[in-house]
Amino acid sequence: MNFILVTAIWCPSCIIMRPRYLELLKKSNYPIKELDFDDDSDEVDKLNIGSTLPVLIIKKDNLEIGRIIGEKSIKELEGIFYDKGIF
Amino acid sequence: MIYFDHSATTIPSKIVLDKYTEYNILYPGNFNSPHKLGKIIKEEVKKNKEELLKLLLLSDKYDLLYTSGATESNNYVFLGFALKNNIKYIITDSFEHSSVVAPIGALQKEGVKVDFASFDNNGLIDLNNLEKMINDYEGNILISISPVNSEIGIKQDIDGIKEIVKRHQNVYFHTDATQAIGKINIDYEGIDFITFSCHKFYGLKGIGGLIYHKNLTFNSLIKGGESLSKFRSGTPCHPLILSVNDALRYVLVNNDYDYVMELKEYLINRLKEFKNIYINSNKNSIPHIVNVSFMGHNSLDIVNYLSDIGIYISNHTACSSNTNYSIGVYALTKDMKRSTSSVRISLSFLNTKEEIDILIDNLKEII
Repeated sequence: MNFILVTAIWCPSCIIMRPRYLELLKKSNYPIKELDFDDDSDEVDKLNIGSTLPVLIIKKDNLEIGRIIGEKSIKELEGIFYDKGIF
Repeated sequence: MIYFDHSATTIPSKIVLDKYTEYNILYPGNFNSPHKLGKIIKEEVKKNKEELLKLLLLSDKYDLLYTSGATESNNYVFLGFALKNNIKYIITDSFEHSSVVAPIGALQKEGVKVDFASFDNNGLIDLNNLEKMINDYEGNILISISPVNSEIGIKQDIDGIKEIVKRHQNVYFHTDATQAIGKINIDYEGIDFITFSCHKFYGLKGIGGLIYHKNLTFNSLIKGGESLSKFRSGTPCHPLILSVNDALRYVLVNNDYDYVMELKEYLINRLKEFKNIYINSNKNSIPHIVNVSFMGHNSLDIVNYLSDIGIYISNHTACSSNTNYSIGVYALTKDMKRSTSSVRISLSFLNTKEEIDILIDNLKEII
């Protein structure tokens, strides 16, 4: 399993969510790739991100199995991660 | 043209334009030149700087760095001051302009801890909680809270924040005054950094400032040797610099808060003729900014329809047009539908009730 986290430095929700994601996903030991919405636009454009950030893309065997968009509480994230088998 | 987008930019006053032309003719030459032309320009800039600080009721404890505008000034606060002084904790709020949020976001990627102050249902920052956040951290802290939010117009209790900062020696306070100067009176004395853009108060684009307490130092962001300041290289545009005070004097004389409040109340009453709307601006908002959601309608469609017939409003800050929703409205309401359908009508002492009537009549064609 691996993750792609798309954030932008001008996005308050991203600033809130980035440490939450990094802290939670540290426990999982799965690799996480961070992309900046503006600086990495070549790669981001291929991911069909839309304009609500942040976006966490969850991949298993290189196939996307889900994505989490926008702000979520730690409790909500833990629930989603448990459902997806990440924890 | 009917212009209700004063928070995006104001139309330069004629006096500013005339004086700007005059300065180009009266003061040819380069600020940095050692000869008489350069010396005259230096003297004029020095006088203007001192006058600007007095106009904003600031003491001689302050200095002013002229910049290209609030965005550059805000970047100085974070990438110039916070980095140089090894600030590891920044507290801000969810209503800041992207030129404040972005450098903070950049610093977060360098390991700086960032927290957002909590607020009530009207967007007013909880000062007790803010002080608790400060008490819970031992190192130096930079707080960045603007007096007025650009999208909804929410006015923060800057005096209350100043009192908290006074009680804590390890806290520095920055306020982005871009939406406040020329609209409401704020006592800026005691704040470490005040940033602004001249084009928000009937001046020209391309000039603004970072007002800072003289005790503070920061990295220069534009290198090339000392010029107008050791913090910023490059030949200063002295006609632009000199025009700032003309704009500030103009707005301080002409701004009529009570009249703008009257316009706001008239506008709100007329907006109530529409069904299925939310007025996002509230009792904490300044009258110059009215944010309203027309539910079920895309805000950009409304803006474009009106602009096609010569009426100008906006949907969110011009600098965050890469999102399709208002970040400020979303932060306040957590309602994406409300955020994507919100528009900002920004009022000025130059507007009239007749213009509001025309706006409403034309909105009724599409809403």
